Amino acid sequence: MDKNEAEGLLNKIKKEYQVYAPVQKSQGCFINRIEDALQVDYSGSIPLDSWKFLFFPPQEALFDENFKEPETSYPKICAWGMNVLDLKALGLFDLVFEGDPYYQKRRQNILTVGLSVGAPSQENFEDFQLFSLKLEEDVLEHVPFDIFLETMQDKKILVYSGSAKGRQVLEKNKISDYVNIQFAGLIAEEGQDQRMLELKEKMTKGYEHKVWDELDKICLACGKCSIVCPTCFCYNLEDEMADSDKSQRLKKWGNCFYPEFTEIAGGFDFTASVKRKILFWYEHKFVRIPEQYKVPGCVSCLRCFKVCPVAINIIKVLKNLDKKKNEKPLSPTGS
Amino acid sequence: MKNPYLPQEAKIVEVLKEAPNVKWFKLKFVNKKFGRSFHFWHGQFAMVGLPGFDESPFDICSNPHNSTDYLEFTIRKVGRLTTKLVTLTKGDSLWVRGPYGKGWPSFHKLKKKNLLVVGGGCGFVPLRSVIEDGVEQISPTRQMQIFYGCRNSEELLFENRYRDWINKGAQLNVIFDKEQPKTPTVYGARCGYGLITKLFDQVKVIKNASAFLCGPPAMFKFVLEKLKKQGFADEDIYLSLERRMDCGFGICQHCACGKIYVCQDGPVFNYAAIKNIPYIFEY
Repeated sequence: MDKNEAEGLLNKIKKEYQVYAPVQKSQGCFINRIEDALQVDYSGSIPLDSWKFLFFPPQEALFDENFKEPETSYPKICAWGMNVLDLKALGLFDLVFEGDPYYQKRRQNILTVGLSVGAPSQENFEDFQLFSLKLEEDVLEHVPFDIFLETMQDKKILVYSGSAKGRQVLEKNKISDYVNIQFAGLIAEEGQDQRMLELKEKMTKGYEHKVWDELDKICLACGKCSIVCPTCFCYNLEDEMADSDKSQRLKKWGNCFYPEFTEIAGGFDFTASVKRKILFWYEHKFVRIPEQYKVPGCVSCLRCFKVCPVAINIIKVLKNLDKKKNEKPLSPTGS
Repeated sequence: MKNPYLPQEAKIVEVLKEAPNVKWFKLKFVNKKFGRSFHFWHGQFAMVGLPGFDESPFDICSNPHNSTDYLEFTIRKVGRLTTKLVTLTKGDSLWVRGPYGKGWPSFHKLKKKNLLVVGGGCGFVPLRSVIEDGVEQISPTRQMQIFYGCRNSEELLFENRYRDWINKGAQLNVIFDKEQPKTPTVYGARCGYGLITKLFDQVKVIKNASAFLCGPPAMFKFVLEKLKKQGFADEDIYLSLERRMDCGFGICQHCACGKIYVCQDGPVFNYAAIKNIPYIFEY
C-alpha cells in the first residue's frame, strides 16, 4: 500500500465513521475530527492532547434521577493515527475499564488505526529506553488495535490487522494484502517490564528522596499534566442538576492535583501539600498501575512535559531517582 | 454486563437520634431478592447516596449475621449529603451499593483469642458491627474489652446497646474528653474523664488479645504507642482507615495511598502490612 491508497482507505472509512486524527494547528499538533483525509498530519509529532477523550469522555451521564441508564448513542468513531505509545495507553484503559459497561459500549464502536509514525525518534531513543520501550519485532502483538499501518524506508506502507473488526474493514475496502496479528496481551513473553519493576522499587523506597522536595518547590499543582496524560484515568462520581428538578449522576474526569480530590468530611485532606500531590501522581503511574495491572503507568510520550508551565520533565525526574545520594541530581526541568 | 455503579433503593424502617448531629438508620432493600443476596462482613462499607446529593462511603454498623435481613448505618451531619441524610425519616428511601472492601478479620483466624476494641469519636461506628458479632462469641477463652473515647455524654453513640454488650460479658470503658462525667458509670459502662489513651493507664488492659482500632489519625498515633508499650505485636493490631471514595472498587484513585487502595485492600488493615506506607496516617 502507498500513501494514496492509505488516504483512499481513510476516505472510505470516513463514510461510515466519525474520524479523529492528528492535525497540525498554529499551536501544534492536536487530535481533531477531520472532514478531509488531507488534513491528517503524518509528521510523527505526538499530539499535545491524548486520545483518551474518545474512549473516556471528560463527562458522561451514568444514571438519571431514578437511577435508570440514559439512552446514549455511541457513534461509530475511527481513531486514525494512534502511535504505539498511545496504543499502549489504550491497552491500559482496556484493563482498567474492563468491567465498566459504559466504556465497553463506547469502545465497541471505535475503530483504532495505528501508525508507526510518532514512535520515538532515533535521536532521543536513549531517553525512551528508560522505560524499556524497545522497538522489538513483536511490539504489535502487545498493543490493542484494529488496523496498523507501518511506513517503511521506501515509503511503502505495510498493513496489519489486529482484530476481526479490523479485518472486516480491510476486506470490505478490498485490501487483502495485510498481516494478521494476534493480540497476546500487554505483557511481553519474557515477563513484566524490568524497568517498570525497578522504578516501582525505587519509588516505594525513595519517599525521602530530594527529588520530591525539589518538585514541591517548583510544581504549581495546576493539573495540566494529568489532563493530557494518556494513562491518567481518575474520575469523580458527581450528581448534577440536568433540569431544574431532575438530577443525574455523572462520571467526570478527576484530577489529583485539584483541591478536594482526597478531602474527607470535616475538610481533612490527605494530599494538601504540593509534595504529597505530586507524589500521589507519580505513585499512581509507577507504583499502583504496575502493581495492579502489571504494565507501566507511563508510556513516555512526554505530553506532561510539553504542557507543564514550569517545564518539569518526567524523564529527568526518574533519572534523578536512579541517582545515588551523593550524586548531584539533574535539574528536573527543561529538555 | 453488570453495572457496578448501580445503587439499589433501600427504605428506612427505623431511625434514631444518636447524638445532636448523628442519626442511626435501619434499612431494608426494596428489592427483596437483592436484599437476600447482600452479604456483608463487619468492617465493610457501602456507598450510600441520594439523587442530586452524590454518594459517600459509610461503614455498615449492624451485626453481619443479620446482613440479608437489614443493614444499619450511623451518620453524622458534616457535609452536603449527610446534612440531607440526617433529615430522612421512616419510609424514606436512600440508595445503596456494595458491600465493598475488606472488613475486620474473622475471630477464628486471630492468633490472639481475646479482643481489645478501641474507638474514638465517629470511629466507634465501624467497630459497632464487630462488637455486635463479638459479644455473641464471648466465652471463658474469648474475652472482649472495649475502649471508647467520646466528647461528652450528649455525643455518646449506641448507649442503648451497652447493657446488652455488658450482660453478654464485654468489659466496656467509656471516657469523655470534654466533660467531667457526673457518675462513675454511664448506661452500665465504666466512665472516666480524659483522652482515650488515659484508659490504658487506668484500666488493666486485656492480655493475649488482638486490637481493633478506629478513629482519627491522631488517635491512631497515640493509641499505637500505648499498644506497643503493652506488648501488642504489629501483626495483632488491625485498623480501619477513612478516605474519600468515589467508585468503591479500586479504580477512581481517590482513596489511594502508596500502593494500596483503602476501598479495596481495606478499609480494615493489619498494622504490620501498612505501617511503612508513608503518610498513611497523616492528613
